[in-house]
Amino acid sequence: MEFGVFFELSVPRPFTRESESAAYFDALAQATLADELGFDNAWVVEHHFLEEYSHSSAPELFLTALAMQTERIGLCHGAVVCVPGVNHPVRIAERAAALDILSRGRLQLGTARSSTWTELGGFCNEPDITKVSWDEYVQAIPRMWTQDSFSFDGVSFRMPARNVIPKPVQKPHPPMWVAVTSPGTELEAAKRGLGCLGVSAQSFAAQERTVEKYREVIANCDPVGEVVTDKVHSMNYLFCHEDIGYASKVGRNFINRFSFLNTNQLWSREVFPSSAYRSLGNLAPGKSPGRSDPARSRPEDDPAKVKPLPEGVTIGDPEHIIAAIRKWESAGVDGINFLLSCVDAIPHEEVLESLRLFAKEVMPAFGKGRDDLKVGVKLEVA
Amino acid sequence: MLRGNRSIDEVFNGAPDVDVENLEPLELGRLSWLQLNYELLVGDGYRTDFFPPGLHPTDPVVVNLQVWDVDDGPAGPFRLAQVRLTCRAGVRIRALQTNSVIDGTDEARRRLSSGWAYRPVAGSIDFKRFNNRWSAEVAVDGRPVLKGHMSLPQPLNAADLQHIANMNAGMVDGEALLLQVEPAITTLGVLRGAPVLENFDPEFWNLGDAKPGFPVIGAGADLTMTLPPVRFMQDPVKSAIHGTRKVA
Repeated sequence: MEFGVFFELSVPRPFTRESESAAYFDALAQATLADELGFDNAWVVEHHFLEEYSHSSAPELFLTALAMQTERIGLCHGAVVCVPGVNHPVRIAERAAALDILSRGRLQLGTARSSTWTELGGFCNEPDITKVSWDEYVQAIPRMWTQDSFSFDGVSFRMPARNVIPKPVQKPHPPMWVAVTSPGTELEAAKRGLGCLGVSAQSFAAQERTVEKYREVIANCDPVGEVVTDKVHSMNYLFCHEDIGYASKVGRNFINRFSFLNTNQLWSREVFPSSAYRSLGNLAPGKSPGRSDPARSRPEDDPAKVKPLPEGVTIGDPEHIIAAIRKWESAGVDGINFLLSCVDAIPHEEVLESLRLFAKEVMPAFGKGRDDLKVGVKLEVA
Repeated sequence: MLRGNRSIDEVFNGAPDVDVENLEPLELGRLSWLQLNYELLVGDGYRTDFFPPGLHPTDPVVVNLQVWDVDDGPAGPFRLAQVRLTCRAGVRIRALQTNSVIDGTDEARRRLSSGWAYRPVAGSIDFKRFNNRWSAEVAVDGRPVLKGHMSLPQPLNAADLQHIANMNAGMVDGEALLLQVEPAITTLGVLRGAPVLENFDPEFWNLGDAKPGFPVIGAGADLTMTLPPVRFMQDPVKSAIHGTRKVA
């Protein structure tokens, strides 16, 4: 089981230059501590224009800073938006390779296509193109990393033969992932030999089905690159505290803040009809179970209803968190990436304490963490 | 999460009296439906200025310019034009109606108003479907308030179109409430094309100095629609979580 930390770089209103800076430097401190404590990965998202929810529009810069002050944690760039108006694929390959060099081979590249009109519209991208462009990008980037002469004649971009430089340190190239928000995307990842980076809450049963289908398909994949990343990671919320009552209270506020901020944005599907976005994005508002044909049905749509807490939330005391992770492990998940806070739901110092307690009490139960932190820790857990 | 800051008096200015208790469904049958979407270009204000505190503006707010062409039904044939602004009630997508125009029978106007808090002003609505465009022109007392079309429509799958429920301001037993109006829709066919706006009167549509700005997309559909009884109403000053009531 791999453990990662996951950063949206959310910023509370009212925005000030100072509060944005604080969000960046707090996250850097948290990621640096995560490195020291033995976490495996630090994921940093790419979003644009998503006020409050995510001010992480240049994750490669954040990761470069993190690379300079850490030694072993995986630097996970993503998911990078693979859409022409947002990123040219050459620039993605170049930046990622440079980051791999500067981090001495710690880069992993996540890919995505964005699901909000807030972002796609902001770059004047028509939603229709995103599935095609994502496919072309994920096939092109590994070739840019490994070939001395690369050319491409596709729908979303074309270019004459050039040597895309620098090349990454990792040979043949860094691992690649796909951010999975909609059911079925995990199969698209598997078909291409890409890691499945879950970024939405799923039930245990749904996660088990996702893993099972993913494993079936990736066993016979047609890899886009020279590396197959056969891994399924899920996302979770982390707040680890000795007092489970306090943890639950703080954690509930944390999850609510995240869920509400996530809906400030406008999903592409809501204003731009397109077959590219039939299924809504992560934690989609208004989505009702069993609503197979939204054009026909009149679902239960009570706006006062609050989503119940997802199964297996890793908020609580260490014992509770260990039990939750065991269930995710039994569902076949290879790793969990933890969101540590949202805006100011959990003060920075408490986030650091939560990470320390997790490393001390939870990681050893999974054979993880630094050896010096394992001394004297009870490993027996009911 | 941002909340609206428009005064309740402004939002409910002219809101109709509504009787939601004894409401029968209104089956509109088959109709043509046109929607031109634009991002709201806010003037000197901010996007919160258009919503009561109980609603949250989306980012960006999109203006839905919508026209229905109803062939027949219990209230007779009519055309309705409405302007709506996208927002959220709680986390759910909704569209707040800012004004509407009806071209049809008094009975249609009365039922839409007293049952679902549409407050259509009587006017003329010209609606035409051609192979290369679907066009609509709306006027009130001879004054043009909306003229636009969807250009070069191309077919999509019916499931590609998501319909968004209205939030309509109505007076229920003298109390100002937002009615969640959720037409039951079966989409039979959908076309999509570029929106083209030739004329728009922001003052008539209660948008102040704001107006449709960056074009998003146009969509046209053949569909069947029924307006079922209202299920949920919201106190306009409270969040949906705390201010939603179920209609008995």
